[in-house]
Amino acid sequence: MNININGEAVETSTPDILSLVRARNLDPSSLVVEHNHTIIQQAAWADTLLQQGDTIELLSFVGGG
Amino acid sequence: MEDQLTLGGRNFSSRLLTGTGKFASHTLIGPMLAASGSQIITVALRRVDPKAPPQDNILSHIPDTVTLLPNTSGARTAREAVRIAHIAREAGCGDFVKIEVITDMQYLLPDNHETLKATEILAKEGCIVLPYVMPDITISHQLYDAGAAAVMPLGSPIGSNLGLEMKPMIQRIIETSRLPVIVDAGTALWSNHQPVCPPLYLRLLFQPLHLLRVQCGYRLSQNPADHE
Repeated sequence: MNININGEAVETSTPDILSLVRARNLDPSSLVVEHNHTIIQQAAWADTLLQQGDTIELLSFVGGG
Repeated sequence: MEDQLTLGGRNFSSRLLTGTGKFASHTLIGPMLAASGSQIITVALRRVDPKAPPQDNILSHIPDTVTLLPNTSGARTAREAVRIAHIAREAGCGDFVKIEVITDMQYLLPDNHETLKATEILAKEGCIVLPYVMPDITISHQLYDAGAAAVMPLGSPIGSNLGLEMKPMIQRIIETSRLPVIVDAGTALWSNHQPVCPPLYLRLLFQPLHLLRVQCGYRLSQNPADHE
C-alpha cells in the first residue's frame, strides 16, 4: 500500500504503526507518532492498522531555543 | 525574602530560562541546569530524519522538576503553531508553550500578528502561552488581553550575538506591560572571543530585570556548567 510519511509518498507492507517504527529502526522512547492528524500513544501503536492513503508524521523532540 | 516568580499559576525561584540547542552532547544539559538553577527549559519538535544518526531522547536528560517549554519553531502561521503546540501537549510536555511564528527567513524575525492569533487560541484552551515577539508595546498589551502568561521580546535577531539592539523598546515594554517580560534571543555579547555572562550583563542594563532566556552563552562552551 501507499502511505505518506513525513510528507513523502512511501510504499510499505508494514501492517501497523509498531511494525513501521521497527522496520525503520527508530527509537520508540523519543518518538511521537501522528496518524491521520491524531497523536497515537505508544501503547496503541500495535493496534493502529495502516491503510492505503494514510498520513503518518514521525516526530521527535530535539534541542531548540 | 525569596524572589518568586509566578507564570501561569506556577511559582519559580529562578528567572533564567535556558535552551537546549547545539549542545555538544545532551549529557551536558543536566549539569547546566544544576549549575544555572534554571527551572524552565525550551525544546523543539522536528520530523524524524531517517538518514540522520540516531539521537538519544533529549527529554531523558531533563529532570522532572524542570518545566518543559516546547517551542513552535518551524511554524509560519498561527495554525501551524497551534498544531505543533497540540502535538507537544499530547506528547506529554505539559501546558507550557513558547509560540514562535517566523515568516522572515533572512533574520528569523517573528510575525507578531500570527503570534497573537495563536496565543488567543491556545490561551483559551488553557495553555500557558509565552509568545516570542518583535519588541512592541502594543503587541504586549494585546497579548495580555489574549491571555498570554508572559511576553518574550527579542533582544536581537536569533543567533546574531548582537546583544540588546532592541534595548529602548524592551525597556518601554517593561515599564508598561502587565505581563512578565522575558528577554529572548540575541542576548549573547562577546568580549575577547568569549561570551559574556548574559544574566550579569542584562542585570546591569535593566532594573528590574524580569526574566531572561539564554542559549548561546551556555551552549557555546564545551562545558556549559562553567558559566555558573
